Amino acid sequence: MGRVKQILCGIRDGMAYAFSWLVICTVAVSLIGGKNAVPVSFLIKLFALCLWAVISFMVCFKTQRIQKKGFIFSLTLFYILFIPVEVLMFFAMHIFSGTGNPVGWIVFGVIVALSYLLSLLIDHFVMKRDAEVYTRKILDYTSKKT
Amino acid sequence: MKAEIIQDPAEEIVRVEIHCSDVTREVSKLKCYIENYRTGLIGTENGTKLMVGLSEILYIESVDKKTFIYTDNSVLNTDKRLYELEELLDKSDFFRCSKSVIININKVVKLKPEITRNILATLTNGEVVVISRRYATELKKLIGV
Repeated sequence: MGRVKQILCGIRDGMAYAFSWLVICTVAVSLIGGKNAVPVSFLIKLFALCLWAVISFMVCFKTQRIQKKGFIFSLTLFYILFIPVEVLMFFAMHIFSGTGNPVGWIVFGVIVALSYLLSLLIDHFVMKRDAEVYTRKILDYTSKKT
Repeated sequence: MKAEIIQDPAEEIVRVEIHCSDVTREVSKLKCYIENYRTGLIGTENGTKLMVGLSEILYIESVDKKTFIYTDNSVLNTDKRLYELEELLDKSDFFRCSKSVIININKVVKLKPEITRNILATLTNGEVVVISRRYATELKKLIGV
């Protein structure tokens, strides 16, 4: 029960943070684009997208069972859960001026793929090397005590 | 410091006496260590009270205000809260690795730091325990990273 409460608190905090920032960004973009109003339907869709993102994030990164499988597993699961929904919502919200802006979609795809690739590289090279150092250190520590 | 063992069949319990010219901080610390020295913890498994050796414990976890002691082949329930156990146990052997878990450092066979700054600790039985980033700094200091 304690863990469920913790996840619900995380969802509440995440929503407050993500949704308020996205609303601020939406208002800023609208004003820059010369529009003086943001449709309620857009805000509802934005809210739904935020909610799904935060739920996915909490499930993938904050639940013990998934955390134990490592960061790359969490990230992969997060991408599987979130990216398809994000794409659909972007379509529905006409983020890239409707559905026919290939440049926008390519930039979006490249950002997603690059961030995943970068995480893989950091995990494979930096974290793997650090893991060897940490393991050697803890084994030294325990062997010195005995 | 000189240590001596005197075997006496008349003694019913193990008694430790410290002889010193002055009660220094080290002497008080030694007394405290001896007083708190434990060879095991008491827990219940299926209603039976059992004593589990400290060297057998893999980790201790608190779930929904209940505390469980995990060993290779059993899970025992204890009345003590996690913070009480943390105070009782030797800090060089047992490490608080998150709000709800204490691990036996001697049972860790592998450590893997994560991008999230958490550390994954693999225990001798293959189980993985998450060391949260809040406690990871302390662990790094302890093992000298």
